Amino acid sequence: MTAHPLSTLQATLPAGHLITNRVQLRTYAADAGLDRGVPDGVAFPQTTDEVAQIVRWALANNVPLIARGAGTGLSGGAVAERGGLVVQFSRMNAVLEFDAEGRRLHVQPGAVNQTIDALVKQQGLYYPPDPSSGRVATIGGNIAENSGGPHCFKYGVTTNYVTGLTAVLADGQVARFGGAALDYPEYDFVGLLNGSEGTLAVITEACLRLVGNPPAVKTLMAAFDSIERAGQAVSAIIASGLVPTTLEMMDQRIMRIIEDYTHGGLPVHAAAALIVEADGYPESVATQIDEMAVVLRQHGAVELRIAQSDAERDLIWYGRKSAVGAMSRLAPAYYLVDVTVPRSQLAATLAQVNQICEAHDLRVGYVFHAGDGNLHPLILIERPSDHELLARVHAAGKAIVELCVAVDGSITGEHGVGIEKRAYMPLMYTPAELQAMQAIKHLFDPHELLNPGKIFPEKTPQLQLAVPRVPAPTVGETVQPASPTEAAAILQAALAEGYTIRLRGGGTKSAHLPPADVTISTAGMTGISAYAREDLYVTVNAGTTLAALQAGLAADGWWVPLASPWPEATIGGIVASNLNAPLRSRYGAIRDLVLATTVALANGEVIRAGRPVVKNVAGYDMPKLFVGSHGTLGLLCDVTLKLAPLPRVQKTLVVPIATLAAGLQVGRKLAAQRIVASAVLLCDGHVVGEAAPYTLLYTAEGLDEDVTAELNLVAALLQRHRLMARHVDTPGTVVWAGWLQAQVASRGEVLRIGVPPAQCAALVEALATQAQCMIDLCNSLVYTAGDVRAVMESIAAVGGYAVPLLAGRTRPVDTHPTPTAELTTRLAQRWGTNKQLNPASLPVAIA
Amino acid sequence: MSSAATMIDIPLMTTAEYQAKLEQCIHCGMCLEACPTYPVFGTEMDSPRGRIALMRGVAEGEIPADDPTFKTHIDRCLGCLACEPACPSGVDYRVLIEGARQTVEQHRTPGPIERLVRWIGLRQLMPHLGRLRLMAALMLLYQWSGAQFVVRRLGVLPPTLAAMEAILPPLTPHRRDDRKPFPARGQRRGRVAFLRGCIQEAFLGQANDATIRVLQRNGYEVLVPQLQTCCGAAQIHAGDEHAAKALARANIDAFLALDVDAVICNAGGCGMVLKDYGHLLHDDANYRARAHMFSSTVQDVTEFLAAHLHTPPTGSLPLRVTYVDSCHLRNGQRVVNQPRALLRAIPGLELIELAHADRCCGSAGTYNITQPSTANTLLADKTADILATGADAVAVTNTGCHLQVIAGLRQAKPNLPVLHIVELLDRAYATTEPKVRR
Ligand SMILES: Cc1cc2nc3c(=O)[nH]c(=O)nc-3n(C[C@H](O)[C@H](O)[C@H](O)COP(=O)(O)OP(=O)(O)OC[C@H]3O[C@@H](n4cnc5c(N)ncnc54)[C@H](O)[C@@H]3O)c2cc1C
Ligand code: SF4
Ligand code: SF4
Repeated sequence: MTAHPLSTLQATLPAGHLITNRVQLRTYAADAGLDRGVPDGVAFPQTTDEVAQIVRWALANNVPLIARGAGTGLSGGAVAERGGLVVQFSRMNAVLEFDAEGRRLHVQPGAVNQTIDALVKQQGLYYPPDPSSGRVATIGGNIAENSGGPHCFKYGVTTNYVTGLTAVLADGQVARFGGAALDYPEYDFVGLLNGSEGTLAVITEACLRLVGNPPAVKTLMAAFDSIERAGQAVSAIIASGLVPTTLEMMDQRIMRIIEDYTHGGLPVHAAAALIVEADGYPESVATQIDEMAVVLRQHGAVELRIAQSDAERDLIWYGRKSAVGAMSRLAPAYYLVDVTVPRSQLAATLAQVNQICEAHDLRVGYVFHAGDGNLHPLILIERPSDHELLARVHAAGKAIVELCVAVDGSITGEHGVGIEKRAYMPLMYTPAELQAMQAIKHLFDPHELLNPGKIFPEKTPQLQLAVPRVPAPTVGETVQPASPTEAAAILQAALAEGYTIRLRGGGTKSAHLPPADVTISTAGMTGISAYAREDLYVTVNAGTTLAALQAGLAADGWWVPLASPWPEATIGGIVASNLNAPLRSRYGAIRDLVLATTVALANGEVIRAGRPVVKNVAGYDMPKLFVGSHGTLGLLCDVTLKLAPLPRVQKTLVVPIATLAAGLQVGRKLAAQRIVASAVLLCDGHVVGEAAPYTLLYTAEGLDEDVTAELNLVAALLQRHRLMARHVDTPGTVVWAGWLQAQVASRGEVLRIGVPPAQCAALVEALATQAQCMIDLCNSLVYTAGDVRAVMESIAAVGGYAVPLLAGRTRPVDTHPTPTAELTTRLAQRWGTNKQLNPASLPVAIA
Repeated sequence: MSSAATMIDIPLMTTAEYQAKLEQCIHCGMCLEACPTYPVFGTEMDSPRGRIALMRGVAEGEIPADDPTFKTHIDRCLGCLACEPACPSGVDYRVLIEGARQTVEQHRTPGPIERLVRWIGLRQLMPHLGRLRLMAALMLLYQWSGAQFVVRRLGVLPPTLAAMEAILPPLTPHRRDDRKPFPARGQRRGRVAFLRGCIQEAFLGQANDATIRVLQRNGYEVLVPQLQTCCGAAQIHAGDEHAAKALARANIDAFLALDVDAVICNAGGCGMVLKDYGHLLHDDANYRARAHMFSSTVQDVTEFLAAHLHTPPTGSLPLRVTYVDSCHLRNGQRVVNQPRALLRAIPGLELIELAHADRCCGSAGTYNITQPSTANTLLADKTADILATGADAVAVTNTGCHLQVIAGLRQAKPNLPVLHIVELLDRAYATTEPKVRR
């Protein structure tokens, strides 16, 4: 008998950290989906080092590794289809650090979603991503699947809350991506690992961003005569400029099934029901719900029920959350299809899904996140061993997926591709797009060690690289392609000649970089190419200025919650350089607002990264890669951005402050209680007419009631500190922009310094002796035009960074490149063709 | 002692009904965190979903029924049923674990001491209240004589017995004559029958006295049928279904003929089994219907009183009290709010909710005897949660939990009173009543 293949691993791990008993392994054969595969062993590491040791062993022995959290995934992500070693994180679930004031939580990947939400709620904070499986699902699994939940209409999905990751790479090295600070000047590998389904790296620590827990919530349920009307009501609410936290829909069929089981009083006579929820200050939720009730009635709601107590609210949710369970009482198994369409396509898509299921003689019910266009047809499987029935289920599933792809939706909104949907990937992505994703996989995991076989179709369509179609530009020339295809052709041709290329938007930044052989400008690609108000997005060509875009949208009551100090800044330039205004804490960063982007690549291909839907986890989250890539990976030709309603009210308080210490103390306290603040700034020097040594600004925006309630709290806190405040009309963002403009104009350059919130105050005190600065307290970002050399070391020591707004690299070149820097180099070399594309613009050390 | 042949009627795991119940599990994993053993071991096999996967393996013949690994993980299950309310698909875990335990039992060869202890406990003592009472008297002697102190210091007992010894509560001599009905007091509302339980009566008789008095005060005449016997819970738990059925039939005979509004039980574990006699005897043509009828009249005392507290106590009991749910009351009978409502009905009493109220204390029938290390971990957690509330008293609703919590507090805070909810009610009533000799 030969020794068990895992015996050499057994010897190196602590006792009890590996199981190889065949009977026990059977319990790891499945996740919550339909796929199966028994692993050869299961390891239970407790530290990052132990994980690294396991990965190195697996690499040496060529054994596939499958990370596993709670095994609630629905697409086979944690299934050891090809055997191998499952790395189970249930015992690696510690909370490593909790900075309540700075709103950061640092956890191990086995921490359970709801456990950490309960923990932070004790401090008045909230971790918004709330998948229905949150009672058991782990943060590691949530990140790997980029999970969403009912509240992501307002709050977004998991990736929007992950600021840093520690991960073991396929070669066994431990890498740190991002951290507790924001907007690190590196490729957004954090964004890339979110939704990567365990195929790129094994996540061993995560740093999460938290938000203030709104003090009040109110829920209503509305019944409709038809699904179409319910769909229209959803659009009407969105159009009204209100932002509910939740817009969930159920159809009649499923309500009847649920009601039989829960007796919760669902409106079973109606064709569809909507659950709508609003949060905020108590003064505001009542008004919001009343206003929504009016809109719903105007759009055909035949019955409205507003929860008057927590018990009534629980009852409404109980029905919704019992849906899957109720269905599973009708049949021993079901197939839960997870697809996304642009919201406006909901009603039409549902009707077609019904037709498909009828044609295949299948029973189906719906619960779905209507606000996100994410539908979940639940197809019953009465006899799981009936192959003919299963074949019909799969045929219907495929037809539904095709339907959604046809309207620019996604084959999966939250459950991932895994094994289940990998064959559908070519339906959604072109060969060039698939190949771009595969290049990422290859970069991270060249030996196919990590979760092999997942996400990608067994056979990737071959990409026929186009031969150069246009002559290369001449040296010194500036070209203005009019379309992505033309841009890609020019890029390919110029690179083939060995030219260096400078990409240029408004020139606010690129003008400061060293010259290149050829310049490609986006000035030929301007204007809005798609404006889908109902679907809450706008697609704008990269050469359009932000100012022009906002002017166009404002007329309609909308905006893209972005700002730039430079009026001539283009959308492409803003996205590529990833400079976030204080607004970031209220509306999310650029990475959170970009849904999709069309990119011209160096190989002459055009890919569309992402899709114009808020929930899309089909393959890698490619748009993240281009945000902050500084033009080193390709030319952004258009960008699809999330829309927001213009705030109804915006109010700003300014407070003169005598000393820096006092300003930091009060400012941090104010920032720590914020819910609707769009800026909390502490400026050194005179702004908005204040003559004090320091000025504190607080801007709140949104609904009148929320703004008033928050500013009352601000006033109360200021009073306790015996500080005087006055109202001004200039919001914090405008002050921020003006300060940066002025500094750049007078000093030529400004540094942006990001530090973990816990270290921000200490750093600023150290810095302020040397230089003038402005502090964005919500985001723990510091701007200064002064000399920071004296504090550089302490910044680096706490996991922070300093980077100039305009010029290229600044970090001292690492003599010992970190794994992150190595990946950066390799990615830039591969896609930027060895530094020919936008050379010297990436603000990290490229060795 | 019985042979395997008399213990087993039909192996439950082979029935079509059982296999259909296995199919109901869609392996979604929503039960993982509810299960007390999952955080202890962190392994799938020690979660409800993993156990069901193993059961499926055995039922489908892919894992041998006598597989030691199967036995290990089935034995580690507390049977607390916390997985049931957590399950969106309504998996009937109780039936699944019952069948699995039966199979395990069928293939096990217990050691000589365990055999002896089980045989004495399940067959010779529990069904015989007289013998239990005698044992209680002997144990009283054991405690009073100082022998307990000596035994504990010397650590001379084999582990199984040591675990049993450790949960011995401090005893007080006790005897009640319950052959005659206890009359209703105040306005008469009806008549109930009381199932006093075996261990409960022998070791925690005061709780039974209090139950009778509180029912009387609310206008109920209380009968205590003399032919009643042990409910059969421990026998089912040990996979001895045959013995359990015999006890069930005896109880049905003892109670069903009575003209009462309800059969009252004050131990969550017993009540769950009593309410399920219909299922236990479903293949007994003579008893099936009667079993259902009997079960439908059973109510936990907290369930009954919450609905029929006609004369709430007026005397104040200014205590901060925390409540330790009985798993079989909470998960098995889904009685969650009623005990709390009763506590809140006591003037002056402040109810402090326990953290992890839904988590088993580790008692779970004979679990603290068969799996002492896991039981101790759970008990230590429960004790810490209790102490964290800073409560002046602990309220319970089940015999096993009662004994377990007392054992848990023995080191940390031995003077913290552990009382059945009805005992607290009883005390509240007593504060406004003239002192009488009971
Ligand atoms: C009843 C039910 C409801 C659900 N509701 C939702 C919902 O509302 N929204 C939603 O988005 N999803 C939902 N899901 C799907 C699923 O719960 C989520 O995908 C969840 O995030 C998976 O977490 P997990 O810990 O169970 O991960 P697992 O299933 O164990 O793993 C999922 C993937 O993550 C990878 N992985 C796990 N840990 C790591 C790690 N440390 N490093 C790298 N990769 C890792 C695995 O390899 C696998 O590919 C639901 C599932 C069920 C059963
Ligand atoms: S009965 Fe209790 S211990 Fe057993 S599987 Fe269910 S929750 Fe876990
Ligand atoms: S919750 Fe129910 S269906 Fe899901 S795994 Fe547990 S027992 Fe099975």
